[in-house]
Amino acid sequence: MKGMKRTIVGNIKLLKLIKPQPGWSSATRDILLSQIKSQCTEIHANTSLFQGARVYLSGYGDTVIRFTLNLLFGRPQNAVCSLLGVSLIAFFASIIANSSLPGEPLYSIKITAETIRSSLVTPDQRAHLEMERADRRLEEMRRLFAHATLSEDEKTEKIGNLVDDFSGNLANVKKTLDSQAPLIEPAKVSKVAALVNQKTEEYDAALSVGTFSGASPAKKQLLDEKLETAKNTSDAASRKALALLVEKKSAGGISEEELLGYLEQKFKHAEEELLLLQRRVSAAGASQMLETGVREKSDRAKKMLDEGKESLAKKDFKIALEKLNLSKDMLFTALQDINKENSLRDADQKDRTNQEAQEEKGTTP
Amino acid sequence: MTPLVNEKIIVYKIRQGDTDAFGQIYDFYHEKLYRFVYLKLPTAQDAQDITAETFLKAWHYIHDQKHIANVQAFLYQIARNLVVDFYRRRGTAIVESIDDQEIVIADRIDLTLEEKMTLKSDMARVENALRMLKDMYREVIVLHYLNELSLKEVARILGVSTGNVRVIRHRALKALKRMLGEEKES
Repeated sequence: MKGMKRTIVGNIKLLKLIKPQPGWSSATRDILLSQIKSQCTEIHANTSLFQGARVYLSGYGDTVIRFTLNLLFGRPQNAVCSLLGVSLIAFFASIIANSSLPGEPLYSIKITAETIRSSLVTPDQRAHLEMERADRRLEEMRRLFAHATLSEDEKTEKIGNLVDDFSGNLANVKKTLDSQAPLIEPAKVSKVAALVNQKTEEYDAALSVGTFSGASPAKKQLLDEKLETAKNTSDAASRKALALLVEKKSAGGISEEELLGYLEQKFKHAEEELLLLQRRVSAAGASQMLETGVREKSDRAKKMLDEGKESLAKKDFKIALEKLNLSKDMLFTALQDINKENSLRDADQKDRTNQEAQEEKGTTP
Repeated sequence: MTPLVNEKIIVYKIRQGDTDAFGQIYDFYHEKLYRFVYLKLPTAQDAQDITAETFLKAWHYIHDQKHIANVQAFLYQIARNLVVDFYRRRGTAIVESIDDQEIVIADRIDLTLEEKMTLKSDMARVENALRMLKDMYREVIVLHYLNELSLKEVARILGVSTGNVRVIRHRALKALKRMLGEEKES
């Protein structure tokens, strides 16, 4: 039995030859160390030695001896995390990882580092980090859009994946606001909510960029659907942020003037969207039924907006926000009706074109 | 296996933000961790990602002043949890081709080409068999025989008793023997 066992064990030990490639090992080491060095500098730049010692003590019940050691031998956090010792390789590796695009070798390291950071910061920082990640996804989309060597189909697919990640980041922002807002002080919540409100407006504009004309119809349609999902997610985060701003105003988290400013801007955008919708349905040569339907909905949306503005004037912010959201819902359904009719019309046109082509060839459908 | 020398001092330095100290942890453990997760995951790429993520998580945990009794056990626990998360995200994993296995046979300059091919083939056979074992069996085999941890250290990582590990080891070897169809040595 012992002899048999040795044979088995001998075979098992062959697998000790399984190792990572040396290139990967050293590159990962450099990237990891540079990532943590840069995070270390960022997080600890303003931490005093006293604060560091207090955190060290209060979290984990360390003894007086350790506390004394820390005071005597510890160095200020920002000095320890000085970048003086960073090797050139680590520096460039970090830059390369941070500037990598989907499909490139170091991209997975970049994403991994982002994920870890997001999961280990405080709740009020988490929303910030997720928005930073969303910003990076947008930047990557822009760079992919301008990429010289990728085909339109490849670009569409990669951008589609980035849009998914972007939607995920915004969903996390909303989730963080939902779960953490009751636990954090009103002023901090308002600050985060204000940032979310501002950022989601930028995202709406960025996501309205056109898709690639050269891509295959199926990929184009998929990308359009993903962009629509991303816009909806962004809108959900924006609505949550506004609701929090209204809620925290009563708790002193935000001033009346600031809140009035945010809401007035939202109303202004909603009115612009309403106007665009009305022009769009008129210019598109829409069917009578569609035009009537859209007009009804846009009239109702306009009514909601007017009522909302009256409430805003009376400083009844909660009602104003409700009316704004109802108006936006109405505009959204009207837009969906237009898109639906356009799709049917396009499909119809395509069938007719195919039929004509076949008739010309002399074949029967 | 000789533990990393002065591990407690290294951990203390990491808590102070000394990233070079963390580099020492990486240097000492990364190959073993990689091997451990490689045999649990479908591809080498996945193993690389999980290994990198393990170290990042470990850094943050240590640097955030959280208590760690044993760095080695801690790293393996993180890696195990990440593998669980990996499969939770991906659904039931299908073990893909092992053609991309990271075998550094090139180091073995003492072998002829034919010997290297035989070695590679033997390794593939053993690796296949190991991947078909139950997860716990595989973990014990990898940690004890490949990563050279004592039964006590393995027990600490897996959260079971040393006696339990001994039994699992026996059963794992028996299962492997059955799969590999090994014959009794005279």
